This record gives sequence, C-alpha cells and structure tokens, in this order.
Amino acid sequence: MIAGLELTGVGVTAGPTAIVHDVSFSLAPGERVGLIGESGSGKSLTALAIMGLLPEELSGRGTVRLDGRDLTTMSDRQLGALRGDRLAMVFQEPMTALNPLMRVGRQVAEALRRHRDLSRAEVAARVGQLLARVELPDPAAAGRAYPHQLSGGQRQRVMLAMALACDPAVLICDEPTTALDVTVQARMLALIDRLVAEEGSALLFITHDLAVVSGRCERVLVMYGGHIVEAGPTAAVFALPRHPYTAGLLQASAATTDPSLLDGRGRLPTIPGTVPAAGHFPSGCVFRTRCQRATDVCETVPPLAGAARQVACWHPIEAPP
Amino acid sequence: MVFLLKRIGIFALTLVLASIAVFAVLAVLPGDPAQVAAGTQATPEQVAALRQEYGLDGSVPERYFSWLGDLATGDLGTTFVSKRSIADEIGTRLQVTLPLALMAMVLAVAVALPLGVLAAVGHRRVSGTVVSGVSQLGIAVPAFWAGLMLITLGAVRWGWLPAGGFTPWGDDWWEAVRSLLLPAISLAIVQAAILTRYVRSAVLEVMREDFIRTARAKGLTRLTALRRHGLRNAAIPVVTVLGLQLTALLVGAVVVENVFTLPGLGKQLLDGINSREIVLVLDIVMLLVFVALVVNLLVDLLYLAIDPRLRTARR
Amino acid sequence: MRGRLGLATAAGGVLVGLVVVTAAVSWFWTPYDPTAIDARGRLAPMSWAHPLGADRFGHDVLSQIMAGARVTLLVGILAVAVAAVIGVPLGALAALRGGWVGEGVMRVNDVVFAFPAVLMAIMLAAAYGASTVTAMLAIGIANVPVFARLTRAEALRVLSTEYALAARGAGRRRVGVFLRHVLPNVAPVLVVQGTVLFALAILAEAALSYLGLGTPSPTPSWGRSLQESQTFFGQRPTLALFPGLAIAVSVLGFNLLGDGLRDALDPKLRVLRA
Repeated sequence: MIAGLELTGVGVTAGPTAIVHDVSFSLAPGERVGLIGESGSGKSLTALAIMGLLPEELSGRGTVRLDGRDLTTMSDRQLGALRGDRLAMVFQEPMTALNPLMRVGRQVAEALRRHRDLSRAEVAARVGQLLARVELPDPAAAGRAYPHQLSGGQRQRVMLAMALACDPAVLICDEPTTALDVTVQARMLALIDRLVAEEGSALLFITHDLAVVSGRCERVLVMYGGHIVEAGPTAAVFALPRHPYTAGLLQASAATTDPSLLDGRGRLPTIPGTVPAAGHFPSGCVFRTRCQRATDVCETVPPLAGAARQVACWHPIEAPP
Repeated sequence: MVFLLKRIGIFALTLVLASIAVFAVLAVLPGDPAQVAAGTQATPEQVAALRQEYGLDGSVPERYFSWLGDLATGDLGTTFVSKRSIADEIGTRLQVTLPLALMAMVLAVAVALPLGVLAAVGHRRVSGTVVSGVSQLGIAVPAFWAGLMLITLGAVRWGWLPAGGFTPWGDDWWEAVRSLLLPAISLAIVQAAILTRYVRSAVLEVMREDFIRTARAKGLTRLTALRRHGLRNAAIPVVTVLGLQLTALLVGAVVVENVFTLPGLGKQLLDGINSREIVLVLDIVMLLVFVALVVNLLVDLLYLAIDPRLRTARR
Repeated sequence: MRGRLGLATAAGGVLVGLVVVTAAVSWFWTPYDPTAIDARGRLAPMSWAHPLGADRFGHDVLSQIMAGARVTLLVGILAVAVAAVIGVPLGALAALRGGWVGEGVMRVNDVVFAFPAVLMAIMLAAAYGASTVTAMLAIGIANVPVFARLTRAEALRVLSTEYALAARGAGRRRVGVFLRHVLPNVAPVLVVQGTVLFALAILAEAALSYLGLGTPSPTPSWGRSLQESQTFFGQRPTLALFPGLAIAVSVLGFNLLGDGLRDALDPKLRVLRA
C-alpha cells in the first residue's frame, strides 16, 4: 500500500482559457492534506484531473504520479485498473452520484468485482461488512434498497463504502459533507476520520470550510483562481497565514464564532470584492485586484516559493517580531 | 399500484373522448350513403327505408350510442352496400398492415440502437458526425418516395423483390414476407433515422450524468460504465419515443400501402371514405386510435418495470 | 465543435432560403405557367425546352416545382400558426389556473395527442373535402398538445422560481409575470419546435396530397406531383425524382435550422431575462 501521489504542473483548460494553473504538490503515504478554496477556485477540477475524470469539454495538462507511475499517459483501461483500487474518490452530490435504477448493494459490489477475484458469496459478505462499517443501520436492507429510498446522508455513506471497498492507498474527498444537513455532517466527518485512520490511506480532503480542515489534516493547501497560493502545515498556516487571501479567509471564518472580531458596525470582516468568473481573473497575481498589499510588481505571477511552508506572493505577511 | 390504476383510467377516458371526437367529425360527412345506394330513381320512401336499415336515421347522439354499444359488445357492423362483416374485412386487412408495421419497427430499432449509441459515443469525432448527417437525410426523405425509389431499384432494376401486390399468408408465407419487405424498408428508413437521433440524444444525456462518473471512479472504462449503467437509464426516453413512433408507423403504413398496392387497412380506409361507408371508416379509425392508446399504456407499464422510482407512492 | 454545428445550421438556413426565394420568384415568373398543358410535350424527357422534363399532362416539371414551393411554405406557416396560436394560450391557461381547469386542459391535450396527425387530416379531408387549408388545420390542431405542453412546463417552472414569487409578492399579477418572464424564456423552445413542426407539416402535406386528400388540382404541389408520377413510373422515373428531392431538401433545411437553433439556445446558456 505504499503510494505517493505527486502532481507536477497540473493544469485544466477549457479551450483557450486556463481554469487551473500549474498546480504542484505531493501527498505522502498515509498523509492527510486539506485543499481549501471557495467555489470557482478550481479545487474540484484538480481532483478530477488527478482521477482522469475531467468532463469532455476540458483538457488536462501536467503530470500526476502514483507510486511513481505517470497517470496522465495511461489509457482509460489502464487508469480503470487503478481507479477504485489504489485511487478512490467521494463526490460532493450524493443525490445524483448513484445510478437510480440499480440497487445500492450491487453498486458497491461492482467496485469489488472489478478489482478482486472473489466468489459471489464472498462479494456479498464483503458488501455487508462495508455497509456496516459505514454505520448504516440494517446493512442488509440498505444493500437491497434503491438510491431514492435512502437519505442524503445514507447515500454518502454508501459512496464512502464504495470508495473504500478495495482499501485504496489514496482517498480523495470532494466536499463530502457540503450537501448534507448540519446535524449529519459531524457524524460523517467522524466516520471518514475513523476509516481513513484504520486503512492508513492518504487523504486529500477538499473543502471550503476551514474548520473542517483544522484538526483533521496535517497539511493544508490554499487555492484561489486556479492557483495554489499557500501551502504548509495546517497549524502553522492557520496560526500565521502568509498570503493575504488566507489571512482574509481566516479572519472571516474566525469572526463567525468570535464577536470581538466584528468591525465597528457589527459586520463580519470580508475580503473586498468578489470572486471573478472563470477566465476573468487578472493577469499576474490572481488575487491582486482584491488585495490591499498589491503593487505594480504583482502584475507578474508570483512563484510558489518556500520549502516546508510555501506562499505565492510578492508581499507575504511577515511574522510579528 | 395507484399509478397503474390511474393510468388505466386515463386510457379508458381518452378512448371514450376520442370516440366522441371521431364520431362528431364523421357525422358531418356530406353525402347520403342511403341516397347513393338507392340510386337516382328511388322514391323518398325507399331511401328512408334504406336509411333505417343502415342505421342512419335518428339523431347524432342516438347514432353515437348505438354504434358505441355495438362496439362494446364486439359487433363491428356490416358494410352498407355489400353487406360484408366489417370485422372480417378489417381482420383480413390487418394481416397485411400489422406485420408491415411490426417488420418496419423491428428493422428500424435494429438499425437505430447501435447507430444511435455510435453517434453518441463518437459525437466529437467523425463517426458521430457522419451518423448524424445520415440520420438527417433519413428524416427528410418522405417514406413513400423512398418506396418509389426502392421499387425502381429493388424490383424493376434488380428484380429481387416484388414491386407490389401481396401473397396471402396462407398461400406462401415466404412470399408474403418478401412482398412486405420493400414497404417495410421504406418505412424503416425514416423511423430508423428518427430513432437514431433520439437514441443519440438520450445516450448523450446519460453520459453526462454524475453516476457515470462514479462508475468510472470505481474503475469501469467509459464504455463499460455506459453499458452497465447508462443504457438502462437512456432507455426511458427512448421507450417513450418508440411508443409514439409505432402510431406514426401505422399511419405511415397506410400511405406506403398505396405505393406498393398492398391490400391493407390503408386502402380500405381510403376506399371507405370515398364510398361513404361511415361505419367502416369509424371502426378503422377507432381501431387505430385504440392501438395507439394501448401502445402508450404499455409504454407506461414498461416504465414501471424499468424505473423503480415509480413504484413507490408519489405525491 | 461549435464550428461544425454552425456549418450545419448555416446549410439549413441556405436551404430554407432557397425554398423561400423559389416561392417568391415563382410568384412573378416561372419558365412556363405550371398549369399550362403542352399537349405535344407529355412525358417529355429532360431537355432545354423542359429542363426537368414534363409530366403526363404536359406540365413543365421545373415550373411545377417552383410553384410548388409556395404551397410548401403556406403549409408550414399555417400548421405552425394554428398550433402556436391555440397551444400557447392553452398551456398558459393550464399553468396559471391550475386545479381542475389545468388538469382538464391537459386531459383534452392527451386525447388530441393520441390522434396521429395524418389520420386526423384524412378524416377532416373526408368530411370537408380535400384542400390545403383543411389538411394544415388538422396538422396544426394535432400539434397543439406539443405547444401547450411546452408552454405549460416552462410557465410552471418560471412561476415557481423565487424571482417570480418575489414579483408576485410585489403585487404583479400572474398574467403579468407570465407575459414578461415566461414568454421570453419559452419563446426559443417554441421557435425550435416551430421549425420541427414546419418540417413535419411539409411531409404530412406531401403524404396527404399523394393520397389525393391534400392540395387538389390544379394547384401545384410536390406531393401530388409524386402521385401523378406513379402511373408512368416505369417510363419516366425522373418524374418522381424531382418532387421527392424538393421535399427532402426543404425538410432537411428546416430540420438543420431547428437543430442549430436548439444547440444555440442550450438551456445551460439561458439566463432568466429580467
């Protein structure tokens, strides 16, 4: 199960427009990394690019290595052998992610049959185990159910079971709890924590919610406008953000629970401006139109520089003396 | 279950409403069959007597209910002039029209399913564009013109298949099949073209669905994911179209029979209109409408079988 | 991809334009009077005198084809007009009123929908005699359900959006909301459906005229020309070729146009007009 996931210069384009630019990072075996960004930051597309599941209209660039093997040069069949087995993904929308005409148990079994040589009885037993593991009440009944007979939370658990069926080395979760009720979210997150720890899988957790990442992921990547703008150990980045965007995010997030951070008129601090539509980001530093520290030099793209802590900014926030 | 009962109820209601509509339209038919049959020399009393015999006296509602009542008990009546049993007449003609329509449908589906899938899977490549283009041509061609062209080629030039006429099933079933083949092909060309486009569109829609992406994330190749998960979902809109097209096919058969001089329902309908055989026309039209509605009902039942979401009670 | 689609749509537009221009020109000029009989020229082959030949009555085929375009266009316009003028308000009514009225309208819709259009046309032709107008009235009426259903679906969708609810909250009447918000959104779909119906109407008129239940003599009609060509088919197969080609070309044109419009008006690109 030794696997390292390595992205180098990964990009996603829609025709002439680049949506994701030059993303590079790595995921060590068993490491848990969070990928934070707002909608439109390109985080989901990065995940799809890793899996080789980009929609037809988009094309990917760069290299993605799993265990040293380059996924981007593989055919659909070769990738198919790895997807679901070494590399698995849980998607955001549980309502549409399952085939409405097929029983849920069969859909989970499909993952097993694809990659493992088991008898029908063995597969059935394993499916029952998997469904029980994701804490579905009455796993046998759940397996016989059709997706529309399950709630959103239950469907997401099924997705989790499917993804973990073959003990993947890398699990990518794309906003797995965003579409769920708040009360269900916490339990789902706890479940993911537990299972990932048991498997020892590497986890790439994609979300817009900073609170979810802290305490769950060892490292964090912050994405904006298709670029990684900051990366580093979670605790360090959250304690002392170096990129103005990260700082803005943290401030807005903290103020939702700490009233002392509200401004003079009781309003939440926000980052001025709005996120531009895809393809309409400014040239050079992608954040410069909303950044108070921007100067002329920001018209060139800042490189993602640093070692353990990286930041892509010409005027990073310095540590207080 | 509720769905099923509701559906059958709608079916019955539509059938009744349709019968009213048909009767109303044809009740306006000018020309008095009794007068025509009696001849120009007949006295008014003779004409009146004939009208009574034909059941043409009485008000429109009276005639309607009398006809409806007969239908309900299975009595289709007799033709005015020749006094032949309409049920028998229709029965004979059905032996031509029904197999023709079915043959055309089978041919069309056999061609459209693979072509439609091909067009969808290859929709960004040459294969897809070619199929789309060909299907466009297929739709634009009137079926009866295709028939005429096919006669030139298939029958006149190359002499493979008969140019017209029909050998009864009882006499030589193989010849019967052969005489229906060219007409079936003419109909099938248009139907296949239409179906191909619907299949293509349905498969394309399905290909974009999230659960296909999930299937691929599990490790299935594009084609396998499409085959195992997509096709059944794509079947739903396609089945709808099939139902509608069967009706169109029946009507198309009516026209094509003319090209190939086949003794089917089509000819009978047209003859009946020309000779003002009202009951005959009514019966044939109702039969066609009945078949159309039955097919639609079957399609809905097929939905129940395919889509489990319909089986639970819906608001 | 866009480029290729654009080409098909443009081709469709060209073909349709061709039909329109031919019809317009034929109003003022055709090589011969399409109804004029050239007794010596019966079944004439293609020649300089008769570029496309002459039919069994001695009519010049080229002139007949040109004049036939008029009927073709008339047919489409009539059918679409009838279907839209009746169907759209009906669909609107069903959506705006809801309840029994709405359900009732949809049931009647289903009844009409069960009738094959051509069958309806045959019946009407039988009752009122063969004419282009009767035939197209029938085709139009038979297609009212499609327009009604499309309008109703879109109306229901828009009326339930928060935007519409806000407008209603602000005091606008439902009819007003309908006119200002539903119509602009459903119009593109209706236009596409209109081109589809146009093509179907052309084919239907051809079939009906072929059966003798459509455009009667002596008005030139492509469908009837096909029927007239059948008797001497063995001798002059080209008589059936040209009218059929003309029909195919016009239907193809409208279909391509409709497809192109449909792709251009992809719902993903549609924005709720304010």
